[in-house]
Amino acid sequence: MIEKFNNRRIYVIAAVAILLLSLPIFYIDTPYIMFILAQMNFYTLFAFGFNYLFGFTRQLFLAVGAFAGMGAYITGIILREGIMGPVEAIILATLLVGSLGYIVSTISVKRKLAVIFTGVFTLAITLVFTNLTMALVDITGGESGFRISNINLMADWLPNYVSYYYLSSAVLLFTTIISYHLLYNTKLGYAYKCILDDELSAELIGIDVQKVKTLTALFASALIGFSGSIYGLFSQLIAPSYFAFASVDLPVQLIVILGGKATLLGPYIGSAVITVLNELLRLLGPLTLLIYGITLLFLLAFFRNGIVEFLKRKFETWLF
Amino acid sequence: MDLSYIVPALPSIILDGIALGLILSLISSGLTMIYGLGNVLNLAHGELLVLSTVTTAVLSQLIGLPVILSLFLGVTVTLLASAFLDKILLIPAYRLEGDDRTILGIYMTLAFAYALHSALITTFPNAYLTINVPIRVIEIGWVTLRMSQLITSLVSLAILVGLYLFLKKTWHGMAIRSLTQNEIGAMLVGIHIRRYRLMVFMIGGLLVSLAGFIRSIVATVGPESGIEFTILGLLVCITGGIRSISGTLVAGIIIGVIYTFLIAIIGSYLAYVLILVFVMILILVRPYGILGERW
Repeated sequence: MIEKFNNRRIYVIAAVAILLLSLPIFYIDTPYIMFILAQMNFYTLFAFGFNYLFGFTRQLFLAVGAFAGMGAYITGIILREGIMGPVEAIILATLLVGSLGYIVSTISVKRKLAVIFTGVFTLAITLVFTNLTMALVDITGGESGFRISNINLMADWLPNYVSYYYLSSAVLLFTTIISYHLLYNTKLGYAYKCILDDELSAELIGIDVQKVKTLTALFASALIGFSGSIYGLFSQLIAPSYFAFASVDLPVQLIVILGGKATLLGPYIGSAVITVLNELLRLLGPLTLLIYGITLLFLLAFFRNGIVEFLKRKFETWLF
Repeated sequence: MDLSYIVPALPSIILDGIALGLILSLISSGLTMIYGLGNVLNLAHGELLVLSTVTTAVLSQLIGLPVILSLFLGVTVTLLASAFLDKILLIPAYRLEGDDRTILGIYMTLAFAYALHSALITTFPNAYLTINVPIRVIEIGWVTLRMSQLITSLVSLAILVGLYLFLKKTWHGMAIRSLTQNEIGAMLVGIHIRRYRLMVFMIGGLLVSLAGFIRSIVATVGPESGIEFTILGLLVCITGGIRSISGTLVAGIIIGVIYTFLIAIIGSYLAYVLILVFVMILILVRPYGILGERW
C-alpha cells in the first residue's frame, strides 16, 4: 500500500529515533531517570505486542505479563543452571513463548471464541502462571523470586541501565521500522483494516483471516517473550510480582488505549504519558493509587479513542 | 502422600465447600444478570462486596453502632455505589454497542475497582469483618457439622430461591428475563431498558453485599479480598453458562466443593491452578457453560 504521505511518516519515525537515542544525553548522570526510561522502553515493547494482538486483530490477550514472565523465567532459569549462554537462552524463550501465543490464537480462532472469552481464557493463563510461579518454590524461588548475576549483553564498560536502555531502544526502533514496512508497503495493512472493520467481509474478499490472526499472534507473542526475557536480565531479579496482571497487563492496556489502538505511534505516546503520570503521582504517598485509579477513569471516559486518534482528527490526518 | 486424614474430615469439607459455593453463586448471579442485561462484565463486583463488609466493620467496631444498623448502612452504601456505577461511570460504555461496550465496560469497572481497592486498603487496612454466631456442633451419627456452615448455607440458599422466584414469577423478573433474551423485542412491548438496568445493578449490589455478610459468619473478610471474589465469581459464571441463574447455582456448588477439597489436599496455589485449568478446558469444550444457553 503506497500512500502519498509515506515520506512524512518516515520523517516522524526518524524524529522518534533521534529522540530515543538522544534522551540519555540529558539524564546520563542520574541513574534513576535512566532506569525509568529503560523501563518505559520495555513497556512500550510490551504495548507494541499487545497492540498487534488487540489493536490490529481484536484478540484480547490478557496474558502480556504472563508471556513476558515466561520469557524472563525461562531465560533466567537456563542461565542460573548454566545450561546455555544468554543469547541461546533468549532465543529459546522467544520461540517457546511465540509458539504458546500461536497455539492460544489458533484455538480461539478455530473455536470461534467471542472476544470476551478469549479475554477470560488468557486471563486464566495469567493466573495459572502467577500461581505456578508462587507454588513451585524449588524451581522459581516462590514469591521472592531469584536473582541472576549481572549479564551485560552489550559493551561491558557501559553501566547496566544505559546498556539496556540502548538495547531496548534498538529493538523498539527495529520493530517500528518492520511494522511500518508491513503496514504501509505491503498488503498486510489492508488486511488489518478489513479485519478491524468486519471479519466476515474480510473473509469474503479473500483474506485468510485465520492465517493473519494466528501469525500475528505468533510474532506478537514472540516479541513479548523476547522483551520479557531481556527485561528479566535488566531488572536482575525475577519475581512473580514483576509480571503480575496489575504490574504489566494493566499499564500495557492503558498505554495502548490511551495512545491509540491500531496505530504505530500510540504505544510510544501512551507509555510516555503513563510514565510521566506515574512519576508525578509517586510524590503523593498513600493517595497515589487512588488518584491513579481516578485519573484512569477520566482518561478512559474522555480519551478512549486514544491520543493519536485525537491528533489525527484535530490536526493531521496522515499521522499513523 | 498419605490421604487418610482426609476421610474423617470429608463431611466437614463438603459442607464448607457448599457454604463457599453458595456464596459464590450469590456473587456470580449478580455478575451474570448484569452481563446479560447491560452487556457489561462488572469487574468491580468483588470490590462492592468488600465495600459493604468494610463499611459494616468500620461502623460497628470504630463508631460502635449496633451490628444490624451497620449491616443496613453497609448495604445502603453498596447500593449507592452500584447505582453510581450504572448511572454515571458507565455512561461512555453505554454509548457503544457489542464487543466495544464490553471491553470499555471491563476497563471502566476495573479502574473503578482499582481506585476503590486502593482507597479502602489505605484508609481502613484493619477493617476485617467477622460476625460471631454462637458456635454449636451438631452430630448426626458419626458426622459432626458446625452450626455456622449450616446457617450460612441455608440463608444463601433461601436468598437464591427468592431470586429465582422473583425472576420467574413477578412482572419485574419477567421483564428482566425478556430483556436478557431479546432486547429489541422487550423494548417493543414497552419495557424501559435503562430503569431495569439500574434495577439489575442494584440487585447485584444487594446480593453481593449479602454474600459478604454471610461469608463473614464462616470466615473473616478483609479489605484486600475483593479481587479474589471477583475472579472466583467470574469462573463460576463461565462454568454455569453466562446468563443462566440455575446454572450459576449448580456451578457455584461444584466449584466451591472442588476448590475446598483441593485446598485440603494440595494447597491453595495448586488448587487455584487446577480450578483455572478446569475452567479453561470448559471454555473450549462447552463455551456456553454446563447448563447455559447459546449466546
